[in-house]
Amino acid sequence: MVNTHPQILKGQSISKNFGGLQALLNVNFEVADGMIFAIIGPNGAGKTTLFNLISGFDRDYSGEFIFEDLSLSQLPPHDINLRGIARTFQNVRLFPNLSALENVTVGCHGWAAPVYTRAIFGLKSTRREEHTIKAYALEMLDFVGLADKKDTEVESLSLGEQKLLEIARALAARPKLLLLDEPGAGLNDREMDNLEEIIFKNKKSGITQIIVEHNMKFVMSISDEIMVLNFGTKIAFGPPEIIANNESVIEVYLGKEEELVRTE
Amino acid sequence: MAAIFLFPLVFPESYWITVFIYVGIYGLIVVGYDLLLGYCGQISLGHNALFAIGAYATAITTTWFGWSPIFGIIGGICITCLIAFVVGIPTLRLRGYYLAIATMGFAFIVEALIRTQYLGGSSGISGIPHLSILGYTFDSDRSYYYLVWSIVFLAAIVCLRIGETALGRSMKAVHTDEEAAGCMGINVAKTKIQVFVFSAALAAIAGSLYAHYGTVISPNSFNIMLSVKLLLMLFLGGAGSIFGGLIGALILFALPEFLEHMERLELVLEGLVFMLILIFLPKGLVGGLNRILNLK
Repeated sequence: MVNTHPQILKGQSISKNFGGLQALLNVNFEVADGMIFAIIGPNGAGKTTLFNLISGFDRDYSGEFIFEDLSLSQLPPHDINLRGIARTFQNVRLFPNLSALENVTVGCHGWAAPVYTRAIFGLKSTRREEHTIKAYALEMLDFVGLADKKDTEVESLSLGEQKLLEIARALAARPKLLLLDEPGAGLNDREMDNLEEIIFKNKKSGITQIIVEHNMKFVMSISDEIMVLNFGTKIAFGPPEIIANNESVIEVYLGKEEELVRTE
Repeated sequence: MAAIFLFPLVFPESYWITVFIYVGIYGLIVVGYDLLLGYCGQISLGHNALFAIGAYATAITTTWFGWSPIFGIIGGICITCLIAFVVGIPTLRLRGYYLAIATMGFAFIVEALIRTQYLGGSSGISGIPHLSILGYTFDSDRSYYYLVWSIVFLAAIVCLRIGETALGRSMKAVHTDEEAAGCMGINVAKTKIQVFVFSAALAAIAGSLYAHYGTVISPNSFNIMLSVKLLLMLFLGGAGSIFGGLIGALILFALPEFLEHMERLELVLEGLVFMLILIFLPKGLVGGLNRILNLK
């Protein structure tokens, strides 16, 4: 398949070593603008590690990420967010001391950065700004279907709701690129359908999405392109129908099954 | 609030007014401290030093160099903020106990410095002029009371405005998860340093008010126990609520006055009250009150 879209994110020779354990080895990839790009692979393949490197969470790696023609290397997480990359976390990391709506307002920080002088002296401008932020945050909550939970403490939300809330919080930053780390884990069927709809709507509004996900059926149905990692190396890349029939991919997944059979 | 402003009219006895002036001065530090610790989750045991720098700066400039007190206060705020900025950059990288210990180290250095002969030694600095602004001198207890409490309420309102808007939410985000906060576009280091410097400014104002009220300052008023008391005030009243700290300050200063006839039992009873409050009302008196109101 020839790709006519320009690349929004490129990873060039990305390697990451955790004290002797090679988590990623010389991984190259390109994500086309507007795509749903899935990363799959067995546990420990380096999927979440890759997310942590892109988002600046972990800056100790070799290689380079190019986002819209600019290098992301060594940028701190907040600068990467300001450039237009937002993420969610595999194990939900919401702020438990803030309500659901307030969590989403924190996501607005990039385009509505608060200033002390304005908070202290700008009585009107602060009120207007608070109104804008809260209205936008509510819009995002509504988008993921959690508008009625806006004043709820995050700890009393179900896991599925927390995952959706994280997506709303990431979207509040108005990102160009959204990194979703296992968004489907812990979701029931109804929530999965909701998630799928959210991801398609994001695509429609032009947001590029990179998704790490274990649910194969889900990945095959939503992705435009899939990258398969195994023990930190890229073993396959292509659209779902090609990946589904790729021999080395089948081997990785079948090999795992054989192992499972043997241990039983 | 009305009670605070009517108080000197109902109890003109200057002894209680003096007690309440000190409550206000420490309350001023604690509202800023609440933003730092209650909202942003950064502990400091160095606020006694920031309070001292504010007090000494205005004491030295007005007494030795003959500055007008208002410029002494402004100078004190500037130098305290500058020092807080310089100290904050390396120390605020630390977390939890380590931050507490590092700020405490800073406090010890400042305490050692103000004990040197160059800065008045252990007898401190005396003959500090009364505060006068635009020709009006605050030399009566009642006028000083109103000055202090006006500043305290102004500061509390400013802190509430900061704490309950986007700034406060980013502080709370930094409080619970620095890494996730960073991924939301929050500059974590900047957030911490800003709130540290802001709380230092309030501590400096409190320090100058302290110096111009007593007209004498000595190193003993600025030792580490003050920072410990700040912690007590904050958690007694309720961290993260701004006004909680003020209530804590009130209790911490008023309680010993009520217990003064029991002499030796005083410390025991104080300690007991604090332990009971912290055990049964972990969110402080304000948090406890909120819970009771919500139950109804």
